[in-house]
Amino acid sequence: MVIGRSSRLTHFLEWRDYKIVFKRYASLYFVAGIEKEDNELIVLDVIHHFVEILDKYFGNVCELDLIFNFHQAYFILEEIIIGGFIMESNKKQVLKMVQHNDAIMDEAFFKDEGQSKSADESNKKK
Amino acid sequence: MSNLKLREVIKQIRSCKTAAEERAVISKESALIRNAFKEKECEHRNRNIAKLLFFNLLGYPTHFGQIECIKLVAQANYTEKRIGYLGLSQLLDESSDILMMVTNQIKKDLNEKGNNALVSLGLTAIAEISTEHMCRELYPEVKRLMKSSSPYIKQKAVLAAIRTVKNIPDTIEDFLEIIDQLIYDKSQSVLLATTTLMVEILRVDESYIKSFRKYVATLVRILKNLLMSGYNPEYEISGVKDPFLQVRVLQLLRRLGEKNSEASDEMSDILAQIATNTEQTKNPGNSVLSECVRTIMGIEASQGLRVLGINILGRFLMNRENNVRFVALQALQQVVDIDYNAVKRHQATITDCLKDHDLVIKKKALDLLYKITNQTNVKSIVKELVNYLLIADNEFKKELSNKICMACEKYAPNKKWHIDTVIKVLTLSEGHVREEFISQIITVIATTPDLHQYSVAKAYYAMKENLNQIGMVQLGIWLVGEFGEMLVNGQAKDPDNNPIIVDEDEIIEVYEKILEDHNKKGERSDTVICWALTALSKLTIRLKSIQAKVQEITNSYTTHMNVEIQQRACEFIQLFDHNWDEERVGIFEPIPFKGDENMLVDATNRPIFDDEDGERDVAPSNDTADRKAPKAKVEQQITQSDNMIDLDSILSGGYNQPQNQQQNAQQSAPSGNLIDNLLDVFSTPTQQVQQISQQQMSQSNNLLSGIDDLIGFSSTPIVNNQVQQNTNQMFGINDMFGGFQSQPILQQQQQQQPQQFVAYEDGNIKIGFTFAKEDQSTHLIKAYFSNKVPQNLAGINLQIAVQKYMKLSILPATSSDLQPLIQNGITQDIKIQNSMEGQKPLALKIRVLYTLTQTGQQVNETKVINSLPTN
Repeated sequence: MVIGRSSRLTHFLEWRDYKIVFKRYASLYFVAGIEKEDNELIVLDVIHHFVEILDKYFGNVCELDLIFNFHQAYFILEEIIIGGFIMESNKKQVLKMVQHNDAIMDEAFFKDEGQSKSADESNKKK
Repeated sequence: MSNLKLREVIKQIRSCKTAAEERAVISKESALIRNAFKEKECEHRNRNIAKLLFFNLLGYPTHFGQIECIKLVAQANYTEKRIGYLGLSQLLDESSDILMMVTNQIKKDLNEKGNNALVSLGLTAIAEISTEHMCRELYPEVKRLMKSSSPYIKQKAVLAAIRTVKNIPDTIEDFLEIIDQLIYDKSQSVLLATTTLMVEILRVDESYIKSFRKYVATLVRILKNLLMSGYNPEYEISGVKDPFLQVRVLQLLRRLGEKNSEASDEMSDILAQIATNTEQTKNPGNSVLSECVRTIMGIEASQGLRVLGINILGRFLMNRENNVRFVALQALQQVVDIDYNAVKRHQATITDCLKDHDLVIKKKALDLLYKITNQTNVKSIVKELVNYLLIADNEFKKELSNKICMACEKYAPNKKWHIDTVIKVLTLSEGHVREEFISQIITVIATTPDLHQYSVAKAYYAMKENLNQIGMVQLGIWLVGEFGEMLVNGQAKDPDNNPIIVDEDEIIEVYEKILEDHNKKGERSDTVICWALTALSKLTIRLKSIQAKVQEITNSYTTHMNVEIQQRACEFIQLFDHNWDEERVGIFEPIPFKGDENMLVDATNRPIFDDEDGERDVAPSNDTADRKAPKAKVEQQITQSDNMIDLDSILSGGYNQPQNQQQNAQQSAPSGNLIDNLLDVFSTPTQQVQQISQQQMSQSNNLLSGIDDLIGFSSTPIVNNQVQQNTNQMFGINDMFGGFQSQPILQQQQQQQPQQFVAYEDGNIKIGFTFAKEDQSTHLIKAYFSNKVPQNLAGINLQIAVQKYMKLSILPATSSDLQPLIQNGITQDIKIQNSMEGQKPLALKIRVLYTLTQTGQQVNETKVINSLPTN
């Protein structure tokens, strides 16, 4: 449903008792399900907010960043939206907290499981 | 044991070419992970859960990892904990029993003083997945943390509180005192969380609106500070200061200002300020504006503020971006009820949206247009809509054509226009018009003898030129079948008033073409064939020289694949037998639409003769007289049995009354034979019918029978057989060889009609109410007006006054005139919102005004109703 729509059309769809708000950034699709009476436009802002933070965190975020670091994306999302409500509207604050939490994680975890920047790029070349 | 690292697994999965390959990789990995769990192998626990998270993301089953997540949460190491918590919120849901097991661990983490990272993990888990049980155990901690010195923890605790109040509403009381402090917090993020909590509390329990009203001034100040504050890049998005907080506060203000003019006044200034000063070029600005407009419309705003709001929506409508137009259309729909004229001013722009290439926008615009349609503008709006129907794509045609029919049904100013419009739509709709609308228009035509000639000629030509339009074909074949003689008797006129005579053979050719076109084309085409065969048979008594041809055509369908068609064809062939020469004319008479207005309004609430009283009066008087007699009977029957519909047999009904009387006169033997005969011939059709007949027969003593036969169509609302039981113990046998599957639409509707509460009654008029609820405190009342005297009642006006604690809105009645002796001839919708629901009853004062047209007597009565039985 979402993928088929051109970006020139509305970014909203009505689906059962909910509304779907979506936005596409290059090859990344962001989709949110909201209730009928929610403000659709602000949800677009929330998505944009999230994307900007991802962008800052990963530095020009792309599909592969999110695939190989999906857990990282989850962690970031948890600092922005909790239980369906936007929590922190300050981008810097979000990044600060994420980085703070990352810092106390085992470095080994990142070395082993995470992807360094260069590995990402080599992936892209493939 | 799997030694692959997470990224290697992801790589492997990504390199899979087919879904089967991917499944194989994942099931192999899953099996290894399962083994690792079983052997209590600790080394790579978080790696394994991370892998499972990825599988979960792809939609594979991962439930076996749930226990392991809980174990991870219990670890001392932050990395394992973090992954464990993530697994908790992704792999588990609220319904998992094992969540119980994690409650204690969360409690422990929440008490890790000085380790905000752990506390925050715990709070997030509560906010995301906590169960009622968990909330009960943990809410003292949540409460404590809401007062934490760190804004970061405060925000999270407040959001965890949201989950808590949703799960256990009686904790709200405990949080109020903390909210009282938090609302003055300096941090914007804490304010955001706090206002969100307040909005959610109001959603859980509206009664807190009152106690929250004291914060209106504070909330207004928050907005003011936000707008006045200097440039703060961290919170600003494209020139708009923290739109998230603004939107949330506006939402909260909307709830607090609803139906409270004091609070509304207090917030007016800031709303006006936001409405005028917010940057409009970017999305965040528009989000804030649209929320602001919703608040303006939701509260008791002054006229000036409303105009400001509506103007913003007007600008939104012109916006190039579809998202914004969508929001405008949606918001205007709510405004229609508040300020109809303001919306109407934008009609042209809204109409333009129908041209949009976005179906979502088109649908919204159509809904809105439909909503602003009323009796006075229906002609112009429908004309526009029909124009768009010409160019609409297939998907939109469906929406559009049915909406037009709905608008016609509801607001048609007169029947001729209604018929013309529906025929036009049918010729353009590519079969998208629902069959219910076809049967409606059939009923409209059939109940208006003055328009028979006109309609049949119009429909015949429309059908002939649009044989590919199945809806038009259905209407056409039905009409020609019923009134075909009017095509050939030379009285039909074309638009220029020149007489038209249609060649009989040409009609048959059209039918042959239709039958051929619809052969084996699916269910709806089979219905068309049934209709066509029935119509052809009926035409044999209307057109002179076609019986042989019809017989030949019908014969070829006696072996049709579809049982229904086959049966019909066989029955008609039987009827062409010489034995039936005498009865055939009676059997093929047009279906009587008796008690017409009555039934229709009951069934569809449709005003038939809107402002066309004049036209109706032209109807020959003997026709009116004819109608009255059966109607009395009909009413009696309705009261007798709910599930039966008035439907007079042909024999006793108006069209061949004489014949009926004749039959009544000759009692006993011959008619007895007739019954047997009939039962024999039609032993195939529905056994049920026979059973009913026989049952009835055994019940009554002096049998005397008329034969009812209705050759009917599936969706013609009136087709329903019934046994008529008169006082002198005679009844008719029914035969349903017309009964296609789905007929009793009307019956159902009639049954659904709830018991009416008599709100007002005098010697001339009766007003009954039925009740429904929109929500807890909003009652939807439908008033039904019935005329008890054999003369027109004009200028009917129902006025209602309510106490202050209720809010009343009355929509216009379907008409202000009532035909003689009509039941439920007018309906009117009334909406009452009772702000003291449960404490005070719905008490009303009503005034009824009307004029008796024959005597000119004017009536003006008032009545007080102390309590409406709304259940």
